[in-house]
Amino acid sequence: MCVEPRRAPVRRALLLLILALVSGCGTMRYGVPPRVERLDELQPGLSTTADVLLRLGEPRGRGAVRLTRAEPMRDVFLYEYVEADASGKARLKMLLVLIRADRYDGHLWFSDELLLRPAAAGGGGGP
Amino acid sequence: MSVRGTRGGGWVRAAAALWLAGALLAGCAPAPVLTTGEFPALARLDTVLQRGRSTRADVERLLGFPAGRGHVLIPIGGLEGRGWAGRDVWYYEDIEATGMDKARREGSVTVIPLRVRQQVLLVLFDGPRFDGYLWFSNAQRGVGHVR
Repeated sequence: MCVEPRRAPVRRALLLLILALVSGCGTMRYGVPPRVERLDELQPGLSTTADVLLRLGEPRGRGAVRLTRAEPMRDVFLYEYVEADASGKARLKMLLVLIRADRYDGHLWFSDELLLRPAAAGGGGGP
Repeated sequence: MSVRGTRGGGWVRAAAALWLAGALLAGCAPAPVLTTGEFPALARLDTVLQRGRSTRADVERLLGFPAGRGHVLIPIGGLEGRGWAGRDVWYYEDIEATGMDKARREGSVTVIPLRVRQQVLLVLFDGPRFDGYLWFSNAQRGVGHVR
């Protein structure tokens, strides 16, 4: 195989990625698992945005939500993690954090059971 | 899964040959190109389950054992009221990476578009009782980056 010298590292990395994906031997991951076990350290209406960032880290994305017409607009922080295994099956763990007037104002998280640690807090109520 | 190169294709052919050899030697199964998975019958949610009355057992009977769980803390009370309601969440998923498209260069980054099929159903419980659901799906593509 002839490869231009300056492109060789890139092509080598690409080759490895393709090999890993198509051979069914690799696991693809992106994002960082949301730290849902730290949600209990936040108090709705009291904890600040800085408290959220300190405990949960920098969000992967941001958004906004208006739950009902009577409710004010809230900011949304998005945390997510995806893992795809050799068979092509993917597992997802996602956390949305609501922020109102610089205060933590609620959350929604869900996760594939395999991505959960035994000590995951904040309820969940498994079957 | 077909893999195509943009120029020459020599290295792609070599990769394909290596993959075949590697897969045979390692005994690994190739990733699926396109499959369909089982997913709960959403149309029956509204007809079979009753908010505030149906139980977790009813939900499991209809939808099967959940793939995971979660929790929601919802602000309630409008502009002046301050309160939050917690709900347990059962998580049903059907997510599959079904393949990838031709890689392309974007500056110093190689982008590999991945085809991902995703369906998510969240069932909410107020204590032991069914309290609603949220469903969403995507037909978008994820991307992998090689720097």
